[in-house]
Amino acid sequence: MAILTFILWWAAVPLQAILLWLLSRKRVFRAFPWFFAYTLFSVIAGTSRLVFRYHARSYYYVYYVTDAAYAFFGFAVMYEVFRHVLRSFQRIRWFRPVFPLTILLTVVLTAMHTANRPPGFRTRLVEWVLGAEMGEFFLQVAMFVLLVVLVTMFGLRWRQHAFGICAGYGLYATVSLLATTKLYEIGTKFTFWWGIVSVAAYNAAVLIWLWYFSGPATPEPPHGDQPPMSAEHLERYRQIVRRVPPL
Amino acid sequence: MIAIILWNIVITAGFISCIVVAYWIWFHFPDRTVDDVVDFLLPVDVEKAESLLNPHTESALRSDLTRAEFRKLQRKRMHLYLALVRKMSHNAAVLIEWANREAEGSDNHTAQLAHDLQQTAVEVRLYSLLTLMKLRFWLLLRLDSWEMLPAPSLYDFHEIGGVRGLESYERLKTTASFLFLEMGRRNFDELLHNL
Repeated sequence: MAILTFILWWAAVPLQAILLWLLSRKRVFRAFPWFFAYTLFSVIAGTSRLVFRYHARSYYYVYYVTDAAYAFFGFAVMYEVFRHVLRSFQRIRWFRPVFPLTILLTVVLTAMHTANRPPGFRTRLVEWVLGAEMGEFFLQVAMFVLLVVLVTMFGLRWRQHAFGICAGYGLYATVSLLATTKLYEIGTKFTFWWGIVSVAAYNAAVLIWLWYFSGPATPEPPHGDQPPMSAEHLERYRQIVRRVPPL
Repeated sequence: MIAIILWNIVITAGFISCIVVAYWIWFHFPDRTVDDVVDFLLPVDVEKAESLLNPHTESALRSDLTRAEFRKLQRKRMHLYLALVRKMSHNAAVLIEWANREAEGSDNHTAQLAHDLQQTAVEVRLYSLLTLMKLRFWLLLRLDSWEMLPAPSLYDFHEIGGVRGLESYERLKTTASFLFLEMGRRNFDELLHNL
């Protein structure tokens, strides 16, 4: 049982080291620099937590400092995916405030939801950390839902890597939001299951990322074997251009 | 209370989105190449759509017909425009899938054309979805039997959500044919016919 718990708790560290190697090999940092930085940070943070796990005081600081950084990176990655997938909307003016409005809504809802104190926690700091974590997960879930709705409605195809990142984060954030909400409601009695559920969801997310990034790169679309245009086609091309209404 | 309800709605929406993503992974159309475009398009009679949105035709109908007759005819015209917009929406979705694939290629010129096509197709898709919602709302009100509200003008549908529908659709046809030619395909007449 102890071995199983150890594996469940720390499996993400070697898995993310493999993911980091895959990301470097496929040069994903060009398209998704924040996701690459997040994975690099996860390997460092996970190793630090593993090293300090028997030093209660040091572990406490390492845990909360890395947790805050995880929240920042998580937000940055989701924004990166959001921008990447929805580049096609940049011409539509009223679409621009959608992202800031989502953030505003999540901040307001988190503040309203965490107004009551959770039972069983000794310090105000832990309550604040829990509340901030809930806000972070809530924002990630809201962005995930928004992405899925927009992509489904507009028939956009997810670019392979963006889809993988979003699917992993979406699953992890949704499960963790539910678990953290229950922890906030039930209190310390739920701490063990909260830990198990959150870690299991995170491992599942890392496995999803590994699955997506270990696949072959998207093949280049095939072009016709003839040269693109003859003189006759160029003339027709020009005729079409003349018919284009001004923007 | 409202915050708790909204909070639970977002969690539920998160789980539903996970199911949607899993469904998409299993059932999605494989990579749409240039060969999978023409046969999947539904021809749209743009001239017919233009005549439906023409304000002069509509005002002539209003003056020539009785109030009841006009309401009945307007309901039919709305159904016809709904059918045309549905086809426009479908075609835009097909072209977005194709453009997304081509935009991933390494050829800069093709990728640029594909990016233009993506943007124009998204505009058309947005116009179509908003128009379909608005049309269904008006059809739900049964204008022919309930005369409390004035019959809507179809001319109002020419621009929705900041997008001029038919102009965007014409631009979509042009952009699609550019990319089609760039891919070395000669049968772009078929493409234009089916759009």
